[in-house]
Amino acid sequence: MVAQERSLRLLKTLVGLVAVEDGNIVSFKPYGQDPESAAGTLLNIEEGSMVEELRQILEEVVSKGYRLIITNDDNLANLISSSKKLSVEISKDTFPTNVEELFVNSRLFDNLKSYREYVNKISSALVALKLKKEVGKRDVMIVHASNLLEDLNKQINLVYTRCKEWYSLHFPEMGDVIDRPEDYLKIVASIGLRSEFSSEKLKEVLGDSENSKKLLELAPKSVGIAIEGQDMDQIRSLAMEGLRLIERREEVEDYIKGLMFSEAPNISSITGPILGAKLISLAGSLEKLARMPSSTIQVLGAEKALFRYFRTGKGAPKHGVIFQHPYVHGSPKWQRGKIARVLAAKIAIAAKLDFLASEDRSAELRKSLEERVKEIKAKYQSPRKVKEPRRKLKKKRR
Amino acid sequence: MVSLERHEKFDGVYWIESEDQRSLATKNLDKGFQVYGEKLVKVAGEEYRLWNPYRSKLAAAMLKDIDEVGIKEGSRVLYLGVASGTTASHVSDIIGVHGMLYGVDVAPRPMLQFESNIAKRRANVAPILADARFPRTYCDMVGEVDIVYCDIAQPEQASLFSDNAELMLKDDGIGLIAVKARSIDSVAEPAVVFNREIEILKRRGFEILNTTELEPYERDHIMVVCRFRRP
Repeated sequence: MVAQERSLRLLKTLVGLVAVEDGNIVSFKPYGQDPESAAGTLLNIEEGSMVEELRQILEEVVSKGYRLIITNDDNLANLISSSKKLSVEISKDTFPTNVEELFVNSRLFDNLKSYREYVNKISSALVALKLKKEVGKRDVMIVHASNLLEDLNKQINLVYTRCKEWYSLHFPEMGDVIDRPEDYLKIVASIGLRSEFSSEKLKEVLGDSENSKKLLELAPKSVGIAIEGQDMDQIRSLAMEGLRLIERREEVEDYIKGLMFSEAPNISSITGPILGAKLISLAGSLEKLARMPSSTIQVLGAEKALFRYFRTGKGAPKHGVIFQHPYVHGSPKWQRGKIARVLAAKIAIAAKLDFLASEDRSAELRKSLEERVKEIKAKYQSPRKVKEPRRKLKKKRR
Repeated sequence: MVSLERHEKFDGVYWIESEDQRSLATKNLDKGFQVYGEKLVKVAGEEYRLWNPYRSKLAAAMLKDIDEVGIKEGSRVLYLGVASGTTASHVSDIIGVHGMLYGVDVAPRPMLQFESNIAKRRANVAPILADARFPRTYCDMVGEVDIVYCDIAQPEQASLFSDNAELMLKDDGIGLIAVKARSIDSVAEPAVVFNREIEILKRRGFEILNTTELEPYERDHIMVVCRFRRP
């Protein structure tokens, strides 16, 4: 005769772990004295970590001769399965267990009311704990970072313009040679006076380029005025400020990239992180972007043109900020509208994926987008001829 | 001049009538506190909360004269899709201090409100942040209940409702499920959708007691009341 395996039901209640056989409590391990620690224990179990109470109860049941545990909870089952002395099964029961009665009859609680008080407190604490752990959706950060990037761009421009105007008193010709703001500011900041220009110093800033030579030639012949040391210090300070801002902008761009790749990988793969962040910022949040129809996404950023079109019926905008996407601005004018529409459609799908799912389907989306763009470019290789306006033939009076 | 009357059919529910209006109401278990901006009315030393049928499908069903809802004083209720607790707060009023309501929802934001406006302030409420499609993760926490109320707009609603009932609803317990045609099938005729869902419930062991449409309070919604008999 086969010795019947003594099996036990293990319940994960709100107040503790309970081992039950035939409606009687065989072992009970409460989660701890206060609701917060009880909630902590429950959360640990939910996240798959072994807890002291489980270890103790398993030891106890093993010592009492049980070898099989039946439980409803997947997490418990996983944790128990690592025990060598016990085997575990997921319960297939389709009837309730009257947990309240179990506890009250066993005298572990004075009465129903006190048991329910614990239930109320611990369940509330568990919800509060879970809510706290819920890392706030970081798309809010994306919105602010994108706006910060805009602010920085404006500030950099402002500083560069002022610095250039001021420095041009001294060396106006340099503005014609150097068009990159960063280079201009670097030269001003690190060298300053024309008289200090040397080929080594210029090489440090510009590398070995045409411009270094040009500047060296132009510097002594400049029609700019002489500037005193303390005035030049001011200009150089300003240039250094500009360079700091440029550095800061790079940091913010890196920050945005990090955020975008983790919060919105699908959008990032279609638009790139910076443009993607701008779209989220214009929409207000990732959720709002996900809820938008693709026609709205297409014109995000072109509100002035859009509402003018609504009012006057003329000049529907074909694209808003998505113009910045190379597929759009890199294409001939007559293809842009169609490409913008297709691009917006893919962005809409990507946004929904990023908001609702944790899936990364960027490869599929990109491929599908590329194919569509190829189709458009193939079909519309040249602009449509403007039709001759049909002229009403005037009947000539004879 | 305000008058108070007990509702003929439903335990713990009242009619409050003023000059121009007659509203459903429940007795406030958490005196002085408004949960969702509902009107508080004092009559004969007791405080009542007016129950808006446009915000609560249960109230809508009652106004559409559903035969019974099963929820009464002392009931143990499992509420699936409790959200921020608008309807649940009235259920908590009805079941009173001897009842218990377990409110399940998967979304954090409304659960936050449910916890702070209702669970924290009422001892007969336990919030559960969980996915109702996986009742085995919380059935030990809930135990046995008398009523399962389900308001989750999902295509698999009927089957998740049945899964929950199997694990937690007592024999002959009452199930209430608010069915939204558009959530289950956005193109089919609502009547067809409703019949399909009712068939699923019957197959899973429910005896249909009553159904009502919730117009004009909700479009293309019905409330189904049924009794559970384990096969």
